[in-house]
Amino acid sequence: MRFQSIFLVVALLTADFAFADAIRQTKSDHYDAFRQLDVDLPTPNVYRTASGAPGTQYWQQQADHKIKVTLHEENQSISASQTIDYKNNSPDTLRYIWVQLDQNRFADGSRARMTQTASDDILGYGALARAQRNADVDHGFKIESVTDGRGRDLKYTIVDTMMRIDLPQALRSGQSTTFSIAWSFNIIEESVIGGRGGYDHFPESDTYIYFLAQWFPKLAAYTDYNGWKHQQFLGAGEFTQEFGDYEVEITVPADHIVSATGELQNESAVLTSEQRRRLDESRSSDKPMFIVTPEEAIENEKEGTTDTKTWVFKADNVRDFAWASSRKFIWDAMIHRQEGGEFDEVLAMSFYPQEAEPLWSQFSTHSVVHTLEVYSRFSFPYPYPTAQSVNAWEGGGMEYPMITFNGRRPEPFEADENDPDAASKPDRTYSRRAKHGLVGVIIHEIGHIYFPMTVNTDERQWTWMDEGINSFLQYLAELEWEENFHNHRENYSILEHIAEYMTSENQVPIMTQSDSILQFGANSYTKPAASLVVLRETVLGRELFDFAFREYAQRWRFKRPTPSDLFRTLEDASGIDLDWFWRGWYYSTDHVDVAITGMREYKVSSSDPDVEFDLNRQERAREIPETLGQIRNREEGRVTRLERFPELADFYNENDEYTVTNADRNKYTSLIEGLEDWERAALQRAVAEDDYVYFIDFSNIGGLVSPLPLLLTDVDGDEEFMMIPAEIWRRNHRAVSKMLIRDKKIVSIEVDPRRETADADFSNNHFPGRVDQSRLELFKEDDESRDMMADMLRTLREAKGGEDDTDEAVPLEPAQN
Amino acid sequence: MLCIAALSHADRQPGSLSTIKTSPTTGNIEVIHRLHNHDAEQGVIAVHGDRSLTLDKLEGRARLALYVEERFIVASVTDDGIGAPLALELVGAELDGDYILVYQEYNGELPTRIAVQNGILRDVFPEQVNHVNISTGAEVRSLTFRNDDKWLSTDLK
Repeated sequence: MRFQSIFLVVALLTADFAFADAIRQTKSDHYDAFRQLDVDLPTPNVYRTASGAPGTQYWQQQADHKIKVTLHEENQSISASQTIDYKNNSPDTLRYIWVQLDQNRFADGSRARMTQTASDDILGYGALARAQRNADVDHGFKIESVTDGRGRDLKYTIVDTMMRIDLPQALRSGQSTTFSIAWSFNIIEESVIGGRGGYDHFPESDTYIYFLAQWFPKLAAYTDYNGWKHQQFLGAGEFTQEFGDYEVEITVPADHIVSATGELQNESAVLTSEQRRRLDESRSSDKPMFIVTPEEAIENEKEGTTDTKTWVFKADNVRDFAWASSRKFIWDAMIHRQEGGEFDEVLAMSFYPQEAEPLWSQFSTHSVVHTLEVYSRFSFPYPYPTAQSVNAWEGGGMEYPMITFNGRRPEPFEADENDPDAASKPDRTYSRRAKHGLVGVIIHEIGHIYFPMTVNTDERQWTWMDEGINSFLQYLAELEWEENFHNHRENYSILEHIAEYMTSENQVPIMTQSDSILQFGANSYTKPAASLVVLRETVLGRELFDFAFREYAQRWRFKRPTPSDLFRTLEDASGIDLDWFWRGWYYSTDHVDVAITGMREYKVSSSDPDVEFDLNRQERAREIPETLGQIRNREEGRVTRLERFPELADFYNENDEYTVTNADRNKYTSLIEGLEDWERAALQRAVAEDDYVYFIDFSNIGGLVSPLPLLLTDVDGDEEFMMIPAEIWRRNHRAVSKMLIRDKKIVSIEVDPRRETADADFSNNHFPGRVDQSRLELFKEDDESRDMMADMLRTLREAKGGEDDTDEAVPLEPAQN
Repeated sequence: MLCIAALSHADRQPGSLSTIKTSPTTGNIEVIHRLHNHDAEQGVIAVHGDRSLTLDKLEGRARLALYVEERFIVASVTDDGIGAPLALELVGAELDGDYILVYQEYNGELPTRIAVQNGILRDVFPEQVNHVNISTGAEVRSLTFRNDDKWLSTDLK
C-alpha cells in the first residue's frame, strides 16, 4: 500500500504574555510596565533574603563520592565501584534518597529515546546508523549492587534516569549516611549516538579518545525551593547538582594520558620522569609548554598495550566529575597567577590529538588562561587548582568542574596539484572562523566553571541562568581577545540577531522551564546575554553593573541561586529599580522598537505685538508660498485693477491681519503686568537667548520599555548625544513626548544611534524619516560577491543536472504487502 | 552546554530563523534565512558527505543556499487548499559573525493567507526547530516547525 502525504494546515494559537499580570485590570487595558515584581517573586525567607542574598539559615546538602573505575578498551565499556557519603544539612527528615543515572538516557525504552519524533517520512543516514548501533549495543547503567556501609543490600527502584534508594532508617537533619554502588555500562560512540560524553573513534589509525561525563550514579539535588530535583534527563534540560568532595581512581591502558576534574595525586606512578620534569617546569611558565609533545603522541598511538596504570585524582567542593583518556593525547600546560582566591596559581592545560594540530597548541591553553583573567575580573578568582581543555570531538563543547570537552579541528589542506612546493605544505589548515570558533568554545566552556559549576544554578529548571550569563561573559571575553572577533563585517553585535527573534509572535518568555523552551538557543543563550549587555552598557552603566554583578557572583559562589536572587541582588547592589527591566526582558515576550513619530519646533514668543506680528507675517510668507497665478500674472506684466485705479485702495490694502492695533498693545501690557517678577524675568531671558523649543513624540511599538539614546544634529552639523532613562515611559508605556530647548536649530534626530538597545526596526528611528537598505539589498549591491555567487550557483545547478550527489536521505520505497 | 554561535554543542537544539518581509525600497518580498554557521556547515557536510565543504568556501555557501532553496517553500492558501509555490529567486548566502544568511527574493505581493514548508536541516538534526517570521509591516506572524510539521499556515491581514 502506498501512503499518501497528508498536508496539514495548522493555525497557531498565540498567547499574550505582556498582560499576564497577577491582578488583571477590568476597567481598561491599563498596563503598568513599572509595577514592582514583589507579588510575582517568591516570598523572601530565612534561606533567601529580600535583597537577593543567602539567608541566615541557608543550607545545602553535601555528597562526597569515592570511585574506582576501570576503562575496558577492548569493548569500550567501563565498570566501577563507588561509595557515597551523604550529609543531610536540610531541616527535613529524608526517608529515601534519589540518585541520578544519566547514562540511562541512552538505554532501550528510556523516556528520551521513546519520545523522539520523526520528520517528513525521511530517514537520514545518521538516524539509521543510530538505530543500528542501539540494536547492536546495550546502553545504559547495569547496576550490580547497592549496599549500605556494612555491605547489606539496600532496596532501590530505578525510574528511568533516576534511582530511589530506600533508607532502612530515616536520615534526620544533620545526620550522614554512607552507601555503595557497583555498576558498569557500554560507552556510547558520541558521533553516532549523540551525547555529552562517550568515545571518538579515528578509523584511519583505529585509535580512540574516551571522554566520560554523566558516567557515575550521582546524588540528586535536594533543595529548599523544590525538594528533590528528579525531573528526568531527556537530553535538553541539563543538570541540577550537589557539591561534594571527590576521590577517583581511574585505571586505563598504561600508555594512556588522563585528564580529569581535580588534581593528579600520583604523578610518580603514572608519568615518566621526563614528563614530571616538564610538568614541574610548566608550573612556572607563562606560555604553554609541552608535557607530551606532538611527536611523542604520534609515536605513542602507534602501539597498544595490555598493561594498565591507575591515575588518582582528588577534587574538593565540586558539583560533578568528568575525565578523558587516550594514547593519542598531546599535553601542554602553563600557569595562571591570581590574587585573593583559594589558589594563587592555577595550572591551565590542554589535551588533544594530532588531528587537532596546528590549531590547538597555539590557541587552546591561551584561551583557558584568557577566560580565567576576564571572568575572574567580573566575578571572583578562579576557585580551583586546574583548568583543562580537552579536544574530545569535532565540534561543540561541554563543561565540567576544572575540565571541558571542546570541538574544532583543522581541515585537511588541499594543495594545488600544480604547486611544485605541494610536498612541503602542511597537512592541515584552518580558517579564521575555525580559530575564532575554537577560542570562543573554550571561553564558553571554561567560563561555565564559574557559572554554573561554582555559582550552582539549576540548569534543568532555568537554562538561561548559566547559559545566558555565561554567553554574556563569553561575549565580553571575546571582545577582549582581539578586536573584530568573529567579525565578517563591521559593527557586529550580539544585539543585532536577537532583535529579529524578539519580534516573533509565538515565543516563550526567558522565564520558562528548560524542556518547554521553543527556541533554545535564542531564548536561553542569546536573549538573556543580550539583555545583560543592554543592562551593562546602557541601563546601569559599567560601574554600577560591574559592582552589582560581582556582588551576585560572590554572594552565590558555591551556593545555589534562583532567578529571584539574581534579580534582587542586581537591583539591591546597583541602587536602580530594575523591576521594569526584568518584567520586560524576562517575563514578557515584548521586543524593543521605539519610533520617533513627530517633532515640532517652536521659538519662545515675547508676546509683544510690535515684535511678534511682523515675525508671524514673515513666517507665514515662508510657510505659504505666493499663489502661482499671481506670480505669473506679474511676470506677464499684467496690471491689476487697483494699480490702474488707486482710488480703490482702502484701510485693508494698507493693513493686513498682522498690523498691530492699540487693542493688541493693551492686551500685551496687561499680560506683562499680570506676570510675577520671576515669570517676567524668565520670559525676557528666553526671548533674549532666542532659543528653539522642540517637542518630540516617541512611540513604543515593541512594548518593551527602553532607555532612549538620542543623537541630535544641529543646523551647523554639530552632534549632541543624550541618554534618557527608561523611566520616561513610567506613566504611559505606549507613547511619550519630550521637550528640549536648544540654542541652535536641530535638523535631525535619531533614537539609538549606537545600536545599543536591541531595537528591532531602525527604519522608524529617524526624524526626518530615512529609508535604510536591507541586508539583502546590500548583498546585491556588492557586485563581486553577487557575481561570484551567481556563477557558483549556476555551475552547481548545471552539475546537478548530471551527477546527483545531494541524496541526503536513505532511499525508501513503500513496503510491499 | 553551549552556545550562541558558531559554537555548536552536540546537544544544543539546532534552530534557524527565517524572515519574510516586503522591502520598503524595492517593493520585493525578501526572505532572509539565518542559521548558526556551524549547524549549517554540519548540514552541508552531512548532505554531501564531503568534509571539505566548509562555509568559508564559496562552494560551501552556494551548496547551502541551494539546499535551503530546496527545503523552503512558500505558497498561498485559498479555499481550495494550498496553491502553487511562489517562485522565490535564490540571491545568495553570506557569513555574518556566528551566522550564515541565505537570501531569497520574490517580485510580487504576499498572499493574504500563506502556507510555508520549512525542512531546513530537519533531515540532519532531529531536534531542529525552524522559526519563520512573516512581517506585514505593522505585525509579525510566526510559524514554528518542529517534529513532523510539514505545512503551517497563517492569515496575513
